[in-house]
Amino acid sequence: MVTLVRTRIKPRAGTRGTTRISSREDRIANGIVYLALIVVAVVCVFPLLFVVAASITPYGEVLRNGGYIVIPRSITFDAYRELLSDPAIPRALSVTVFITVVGTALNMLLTTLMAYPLSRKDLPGRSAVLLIALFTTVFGAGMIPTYLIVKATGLLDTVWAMIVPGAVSVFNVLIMKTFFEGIPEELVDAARIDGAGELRILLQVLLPLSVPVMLTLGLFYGVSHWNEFFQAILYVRDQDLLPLQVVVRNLLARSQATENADAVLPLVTVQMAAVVVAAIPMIAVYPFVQKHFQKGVLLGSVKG
Amino acid sequence: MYRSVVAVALGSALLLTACSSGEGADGAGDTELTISEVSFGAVPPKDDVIGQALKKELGLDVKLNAVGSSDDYYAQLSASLAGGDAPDLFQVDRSRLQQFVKQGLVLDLTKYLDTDLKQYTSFVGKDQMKAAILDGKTYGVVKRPQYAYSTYWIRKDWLDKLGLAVPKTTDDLFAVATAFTGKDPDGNGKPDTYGITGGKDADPWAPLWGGFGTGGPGAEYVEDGKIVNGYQDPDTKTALEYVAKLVNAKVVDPDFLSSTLAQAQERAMQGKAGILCQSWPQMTKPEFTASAKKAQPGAQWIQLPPLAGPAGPGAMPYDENFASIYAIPAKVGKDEAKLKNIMKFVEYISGEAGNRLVSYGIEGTHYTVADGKVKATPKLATDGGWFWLYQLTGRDEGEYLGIKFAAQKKYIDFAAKQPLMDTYQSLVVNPEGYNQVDADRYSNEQLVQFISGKKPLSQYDAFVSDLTNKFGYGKYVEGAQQQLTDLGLAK
Repeated sequence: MVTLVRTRIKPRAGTRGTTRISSREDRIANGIVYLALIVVAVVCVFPLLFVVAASITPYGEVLRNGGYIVIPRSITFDAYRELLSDPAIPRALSVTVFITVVGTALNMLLTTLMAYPLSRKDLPGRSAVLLIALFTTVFGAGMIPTYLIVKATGLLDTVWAMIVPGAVSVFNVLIMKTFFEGIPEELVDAARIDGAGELRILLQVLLPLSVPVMLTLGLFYGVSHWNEFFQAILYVRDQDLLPLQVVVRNLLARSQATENADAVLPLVTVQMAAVVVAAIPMIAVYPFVQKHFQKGVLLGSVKG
Repeated sequence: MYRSVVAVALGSALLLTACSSGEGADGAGDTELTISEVSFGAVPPKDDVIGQALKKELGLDVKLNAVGSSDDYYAQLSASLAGGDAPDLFQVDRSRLQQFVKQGLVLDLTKYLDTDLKQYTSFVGKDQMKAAILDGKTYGVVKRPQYAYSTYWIRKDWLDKLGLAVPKTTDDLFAVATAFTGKDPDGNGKPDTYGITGGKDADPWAPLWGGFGTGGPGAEYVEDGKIVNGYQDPDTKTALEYVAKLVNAKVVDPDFLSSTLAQAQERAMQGKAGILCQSWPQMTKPEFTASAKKAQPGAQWIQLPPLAGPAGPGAMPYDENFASIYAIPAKVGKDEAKLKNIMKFVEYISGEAGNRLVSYGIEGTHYTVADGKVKATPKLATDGGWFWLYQLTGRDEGEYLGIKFAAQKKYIDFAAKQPLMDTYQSLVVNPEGYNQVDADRYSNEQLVQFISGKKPLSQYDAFVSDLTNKFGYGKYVEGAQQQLTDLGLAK
């Protein structure tokens, strides 16, 4: 995933044009920096732009031009119309939205409820629990034992098979735990003196200070749910429960069937439209969450 | 103390749920029949007319689980086989079948062949059924092979424009490819055309091998009653010399090493190349030709028979045993009723009425019968694209294609009736100690170097000996010899 870091340099009030003298060298250096950044940006954006362009170019045009052009001369949404006329795509989209929304909510709830106690140094048995959690990151159960558990718990062939097995990521718990530990003890002490219980401390003191880490982890979880693929392949047979990525993959897999007389191969434009539908929502969310990635952790909560 | 009690209680609760849900799954649905297979994206619609007809005819609820790509399919299959809830009939290739047989996961069907599977046996034929035989026992039902679909396709209008005859030999082909590259066949005054194009996911040279007396690198075939391996056949070296000559003469689209066949075809449709090895469905079905015509209105593609070469008349290598195998999980052996149902289904789709159903759909809707002959209605073309998923034991290929693709009859016959050279590598099961992934990677790398002229073919023998000795390919060749002889293919 492309990560763009945006930094905005604001001139300090009153200094503009008076004390700050930008020399020729400065401007040249700036120019080079901007040029380099533009090149990087183009390199990042180009493949995306290409896919979008390919999805809206009429196929006849593609063949006539001897390939794709980034800015198509004429535009058609036929590919999208064809794609969405297949009832599998809207259905898969709703499955994916469901597992993304419900799954991420569940992930965040469980991750927070595990990270908060583990961040309190006075928790009895803390290091044992941590060790057990860490153990699972080093020694995973493997595909077939996990399958057996999913089967034994009756999750097979339900949407929950794509939500429950990965409900807590130990890695994310550790990130959140570390974040909570970075919040000064004094804030928690102060709340406790004011008579707050554990739940109130978590909800009203720690969480408001943890917006950046919440959004970041929420995005991690959200993206992984949106891209849900392998668990769906293993645990889901019902065509109605397949998430978007699997359906898109099936669409792209059709083009491998060259030796099948019956196969109706999708045009490249339709394949590209499917890629766009599958990728755009996440790309659209990123910029809004982006600013929290680099936001300072504690913006003036403890003075002095 | 308290904690350990909780732990034991939780653990036993888990065990209990595991047992109970396991029983539930086995007991449910005596008439249910689940099938898993690779579908390349084809999926039966909600309104599955074939499934409904099967329910009416056989009283069985056939559930089709179609997985898009074969990698995903085998991941799912191995998990469910190990998990004890394998589908009742699952598609499998021969190498994996052997693995599953070793693990005792697959049911031996040998004793049913002449009784409960009589119809199937006569429909598919003993010759084809060998694809599912391991150590003398039959472990699955086999799909009848389809015809050969691929040939070289060439731009007739370019030949005419340059005053060239349709190439018949490999030398002719070289001359034509050179002319297509250098003599501006599209008349736009720019040197923007190539003779031949192709992709890395299919063999662009397949129609050439036969003329040199080889089945191509990696193929297994019979020569003078003996099993021959394509790498070890000295004729392969001669053939590669010819291919290298083509590539070095710069008459081959240089993208053939990096692009897919689908992309190569796109380039051919754009008028960038005049020769391409492709299947008739790809070249002649209206959904392709319509847009291709728009791009190159004058383009006229015709099929070429395999080219004659130094070793005599040409032949297209064709491995018809590539057909799929469908196996039944071993645990069904204990469930007599279920096994009977599965075999009833297999028998039905191998019989006349059943095979007609899975081939052409519903009489009156998708086809009509006049004088005992099936005639497709337009609905078969629009709605019948997924019927083949139910053709587990195959179909009467000639009749099927003739009815369903009447407009392409000429091309179908051409590809089917071209001289073929039988190859058998899909019948070979990798012997232990042979790592196919490594050997394939090495040999593909080396072949690219030979073809592209980076390495002279004088080093070909050294390459074969490296492949044989260092990559365990010798074991594969020996194993192939043994296995194919056991199947009665060598004298």
